[in-house]
Amino acid sequence: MIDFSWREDLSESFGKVKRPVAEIFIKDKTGNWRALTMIIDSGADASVINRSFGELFGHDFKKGRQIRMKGFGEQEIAAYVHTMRLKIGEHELDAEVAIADIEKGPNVLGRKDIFNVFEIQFKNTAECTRFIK
Amino acid sequence: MVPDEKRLKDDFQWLIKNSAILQQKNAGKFVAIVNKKVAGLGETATEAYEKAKKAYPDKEPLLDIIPEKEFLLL
Repeated sequence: MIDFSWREDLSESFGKVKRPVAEIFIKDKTGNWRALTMIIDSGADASVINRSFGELFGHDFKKGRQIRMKGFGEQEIAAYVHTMRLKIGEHELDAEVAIADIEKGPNVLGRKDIFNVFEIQFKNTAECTRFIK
Repeated sequence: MVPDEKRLKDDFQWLIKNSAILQQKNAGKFVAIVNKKVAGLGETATEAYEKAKKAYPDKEPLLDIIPEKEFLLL
């Protein structure tokens, strides 16, 4: 079981907001683990990192399977799906992660290959997210 | 095995408590944290990472992008 406390951010619209984030390790193309923060999003079909992180991790990002990403509104963003080795707490797993063709944007931990491995509980009163394997 | 995992866990705890402070001047930038300090800031993840590695060659930084204040996550 792993608990990740929520991150306190400032929002122009809502003042202080608490966002569920996790410390995730991703193995780069040289075999080294890199540590990054990702927003845990049960509404996201899959995990996404931005192009800048994809490049740092050594991915020729356009070599992945191309998909179209769409959130609220009409705009689509191209993304490329790669299989990456992730470590969450003590647990390692392979997950399909999309590299979005945008320089900036949040890193998102979505459902595919993650939510079927862990029972993930958003604990609002404790302001943390619990991963149970 | 991730080297320095205990220290990275402490850096994560520091980051989530200080994110709002970092947003005041550095929203939208990439950040690399080492030893509960900002070790690298940049316009790209690589720039932030390389600054941190220059300051702490033997340590792996925790990476993040500091959210914009107008950012609304759906």
